Amino acid sequence: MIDGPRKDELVEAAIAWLEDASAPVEGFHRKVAANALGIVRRELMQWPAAEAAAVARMGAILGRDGDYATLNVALAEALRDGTVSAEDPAVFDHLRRMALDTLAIDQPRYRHELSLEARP
Amino acid sequence: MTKIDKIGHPFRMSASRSEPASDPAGFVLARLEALAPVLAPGGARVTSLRRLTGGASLETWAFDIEGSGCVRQLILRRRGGGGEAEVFETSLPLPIEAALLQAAENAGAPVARLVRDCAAEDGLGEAYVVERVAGETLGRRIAVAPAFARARETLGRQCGQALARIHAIDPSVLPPLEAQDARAVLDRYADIYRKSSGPRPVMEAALKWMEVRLPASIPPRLVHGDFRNGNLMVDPVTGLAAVLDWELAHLGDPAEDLGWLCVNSWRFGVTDRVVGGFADLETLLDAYEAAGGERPSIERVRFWQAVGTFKWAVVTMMMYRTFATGASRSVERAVIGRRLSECEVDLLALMEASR
Repeated sequence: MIDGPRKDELVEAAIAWLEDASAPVEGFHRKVAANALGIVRRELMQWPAAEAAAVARMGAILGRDGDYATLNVALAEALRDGTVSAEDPAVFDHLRRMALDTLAIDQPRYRHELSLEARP
Repeated sequence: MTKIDKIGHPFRMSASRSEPASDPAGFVLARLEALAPVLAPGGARVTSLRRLTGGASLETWAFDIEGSGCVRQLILRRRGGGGEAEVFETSLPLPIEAALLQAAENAGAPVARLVRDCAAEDGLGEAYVVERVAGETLGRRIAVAPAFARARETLGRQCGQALARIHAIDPSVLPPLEAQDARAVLDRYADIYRKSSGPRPVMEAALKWMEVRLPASIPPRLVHGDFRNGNLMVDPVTGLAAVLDWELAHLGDPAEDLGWLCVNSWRFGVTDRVVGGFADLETLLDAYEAAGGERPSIERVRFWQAVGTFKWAVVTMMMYRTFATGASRSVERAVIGRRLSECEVDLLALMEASR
């Protein structure tokens, strides 16, 4: 789930840095700006399909239609009030896919211990 | 100065404040010059003064005192005037931090030795001076660089020992510190999450997971609060040289420190070495127990690891907020908001492992 910073904020910050004549063209900050634009690029390419798949999964879990933001908030509230449980394999698998799809946009090289697929 | 949460959360967000002196280096230099004889026997001159942290209202300065044929390498920590907006500010006043350093040293934990707990007449405001410890603090280098291979062989045991000594300190000899048991810590970060973000399914699922695993309350001990790879000064040969960054210290469950050290974000890609990217959990707990620490269950450590991961998630939200509200418009501050997804993946990994 992508909340903030949004694509436009990342691009805006990178542009502001590029336009700032006093910004030292120094390794670290240049890498940070390139990283921000890389996130935007991956989001443009990968998020539409991830979002559509998430909407389908959440619709099935919650038994209702809606857009991504509506269903995502509804799922969070259902997890909070206990009407839906992450112990339910379908729910956990949705959370896994959602988190991995988002990580693939934000930090594709991040190493972690979460299984890539549901365990049998 | 505004706090993101009204209940005394340790990460304080400060807006710009005006520096009392337009030339902070000159201001600090003049006062250290006056203190030189106190800071080193025969101390006459201050040389090589340089600021190590930029922007923070909590300043760290490195400097040398030269005197009668000797040079003493020192660090000054002081609460200065503003700079750009910062997320992390200590809730502990520096004199309390100084007292904790002294107590830790007395207990045999490796810390930078306290040289002066500055008095009002020193003119430096809230400040203290410690010996400068040589070594590396960059977590990635410590976890990955071949130069630290030897240090990595001992670092896990040394961390266990250091934590056992810190946790063994009699709380009654310490200055007053806030007590935060598991319930209090969980409620605190749940509250900040709800104020900083819309509802998020993984965060809600993680809260439920932690709720049912809330460990029984135990008598509170001194907890360092930020004991992780990145806050450890490490020598390439001898390993742990000093435990740094005491500003989040409090009284609580000792397993909080052990769990925080295992958070995946501090393993710097060496995910299979659970402890800071340099050791396994058995090594850490064996050394902790051998040094007199009461060995916690794996479940208790995992609970605190989850709390730590949740806490880091909340911090990324707060850092993004300083960008979104315009307090800091740097790309770095914006991008850190996208580290939330790493925390959610790590929380799910902990949940998955317990199924």
